[in-house]
Amino acid sequence: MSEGLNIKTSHEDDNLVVTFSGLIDEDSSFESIENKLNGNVIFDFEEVSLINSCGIREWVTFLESVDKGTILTYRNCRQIIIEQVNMVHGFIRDGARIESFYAPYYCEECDQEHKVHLNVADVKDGKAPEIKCPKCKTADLEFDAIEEQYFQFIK
Amino acid sequence: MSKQKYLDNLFEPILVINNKNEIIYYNHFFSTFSGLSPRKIKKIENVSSLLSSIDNKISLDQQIDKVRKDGGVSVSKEGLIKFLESEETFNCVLKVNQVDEDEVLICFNDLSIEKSIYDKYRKQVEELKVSYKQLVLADKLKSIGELSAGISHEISNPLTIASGNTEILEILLETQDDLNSKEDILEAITNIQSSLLRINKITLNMKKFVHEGVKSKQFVSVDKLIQSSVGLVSPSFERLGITLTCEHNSDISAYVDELAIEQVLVNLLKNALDSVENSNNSIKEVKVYTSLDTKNNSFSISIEDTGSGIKEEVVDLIFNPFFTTKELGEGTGMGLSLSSQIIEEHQGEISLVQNSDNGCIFSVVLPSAEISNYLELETRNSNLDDNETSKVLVIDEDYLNLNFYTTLNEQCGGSFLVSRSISKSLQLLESININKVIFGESLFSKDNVNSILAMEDDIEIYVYSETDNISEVDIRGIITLPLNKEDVLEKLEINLGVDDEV
Ligand SMILES: [Zn+2]
Repeated sequence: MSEGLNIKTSHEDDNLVVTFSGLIDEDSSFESIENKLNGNVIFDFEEVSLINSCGIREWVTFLESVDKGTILTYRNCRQIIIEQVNMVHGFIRDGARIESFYAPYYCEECDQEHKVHLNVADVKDGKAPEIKCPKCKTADLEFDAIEEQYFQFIK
Repeated sequence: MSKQKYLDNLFEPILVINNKNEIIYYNHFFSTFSGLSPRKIKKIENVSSLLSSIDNKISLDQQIDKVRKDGGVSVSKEGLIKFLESEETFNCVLKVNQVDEDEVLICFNDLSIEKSIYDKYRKQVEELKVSYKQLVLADKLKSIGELSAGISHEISNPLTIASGNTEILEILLETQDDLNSKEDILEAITNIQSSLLRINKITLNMKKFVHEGVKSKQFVSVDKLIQSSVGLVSPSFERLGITLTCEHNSDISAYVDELAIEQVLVNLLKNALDSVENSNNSIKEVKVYTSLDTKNNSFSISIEDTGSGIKEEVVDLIFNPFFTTKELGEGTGMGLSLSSQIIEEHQGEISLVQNSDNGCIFSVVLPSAEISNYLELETRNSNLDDNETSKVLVIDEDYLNLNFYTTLNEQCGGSFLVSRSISKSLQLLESININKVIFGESLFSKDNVNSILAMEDDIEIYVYSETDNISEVDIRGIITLPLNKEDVLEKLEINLGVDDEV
């Protein structure tokens, strides 16, 4: 299925990795993993192309079904996910942790945008870490969003 | 500047521009919403190039010009926009507001999700309508299927008579020596004709029943409704030796979708038949009767059987979709659920009013014809009383005439209220402001006219061309029979102005 949301699960050491791909919207169903998660769980958003406010509603309902003892980690959060996380309370439940995410950067030399994969630990004092352009390898990339807003979720 | 900090916390995209149309401020959410990073926004020299309207419903430039000229606020239509080189589209309403002499505030109300969910909803409603239609038809076909044994019996009887009579004819014609046989020949022909008519009636009845008609309400006598439903099921009753009796009350009329109500009655009668057939009770009988409730402006049709009743534990479930007491594969279990839906669409109610080991009574309560007609008009014209068009009350006993006017309502948006009795008409006059009254021949009399005028003395009275004794009252106009649209509208001086499609 190309449309809609796909959910795959796999194991990585002691962790259960849940990979989402496609759209998270009003038609998304988390039924296949509802009430099935426990222990250490990693949510991987690498393949998510869209999330809207209706999708978040579904997501929040799903999160409420997850056992309170489950340790949740968010991985590879796309820019759209981060934007939603900053806007909607409940997308990340208390105690859950974002491990890695994407941030928009721009190289003036190459006139090119880059989505750079960052770890939360790379962001210090709400400032975007300095990154060299992966293409020209010389220029420093410029952070291409509002830092104060984009890094809100790291608090 | 600190006020702008507040704006940064809003979940609504906002821009401020100066007199040169330069963006002098955008809040954080505008950047997220538009997908434009500060770098890109900085490059925009004139707000005109910020977005494009895909469906041409929004012109930001015009809005800005307008508020600069007239002050105040300009709110756009809902339209599809996209930002700069981005491919993403938004369904938005733009609000442009002159905040002070040289600053204009632009707010975006993003309705994309509402729009997409609305579109999806509309599509699903359409699909549901189609499924519902199919369900209704499937239910009818199932009923016919279940009644087919009785119906084929009903056809084979007159067929046997007809073929017997053709044999007689043959013999008579072979041996036509004396004149006496002429009478016999005529008798045989009469027999054949009446048998064929019987068959024709049955097949017509069936054809009408399964016909996927347009949903439309008509004035109809309740007796006629019952008769045509009974016509479909009575052969099955006869075949199983179960008595079916109908009590007549020719006074009651209904304003209903005839076929739909027939479907409900056939369902109820068939259930009653099944229940009696499967019961060990010695009396095997189903009764249909009607009653009028003038106080509540309603009437009811009841179907009483002598079956073994419905088990206590399932009584609450019988109107649920897919509920059936029959063996798997025998019934769809949609009969009662569909029936109750149909009755609800008529603002009525279907219920199990009695249930015991000795049988049940199902009752269908529907609003009186006048009330149904009034409710329909009220729904169509939202607020009938405030409506500009002339409201005409038709007081006539003739169903064909009444249906002529209800069709005018449906097709041309007329405001004809119809009634079959003086007392009901007076009730209607109490609650609604009527300008004109048309009297049918049978209900026209000086007394009746006076009782109407006593309620409202400036009502204009109309009668039909064939009415007698019209000289006794002040008549505004005479309408030609048989009724035709042009004549009626002309005589009543009503201009519905919907003739362009003719
Ligand atoms: Zn570069």
